[in-house]
Amino acid sequence: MNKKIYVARSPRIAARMLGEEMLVMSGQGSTLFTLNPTATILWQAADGATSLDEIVERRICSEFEVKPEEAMRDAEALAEDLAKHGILLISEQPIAGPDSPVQEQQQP
Amino acid sequence: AIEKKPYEKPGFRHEQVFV
Repeated sequence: MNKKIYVARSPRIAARMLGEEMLVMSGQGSTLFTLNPTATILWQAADGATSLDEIVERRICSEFEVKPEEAMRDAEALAEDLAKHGILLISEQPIAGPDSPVQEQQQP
Repeated sequence: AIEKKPYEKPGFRHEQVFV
């Protein structure tokens, strides 16, 4: 896939780190999502300004034993799934907007 | 050498909460 895609967290959610997993609460349908550690890394890097392939290269391929094509394929699948549930925004252009509406708190 | 961690496919689970 040559097209760059950009991902950003929806402002309509609340997220909280618990250990290595991210708990994401969506008001839409009152659903609680629990992201595994790899998905959490992608989620945290989804700032709307960095393309998904850059995120995968910098945050996944540099830290994990995985081929870039496989990591990219998995990241795209995850992004599409999360977007279907309305907690992640996907665009072919950088997604403007403050990163701040996402309420994240680190578990002490 | 920088040791890389074993890769785990990114995923999630979800559940309805009725608060």
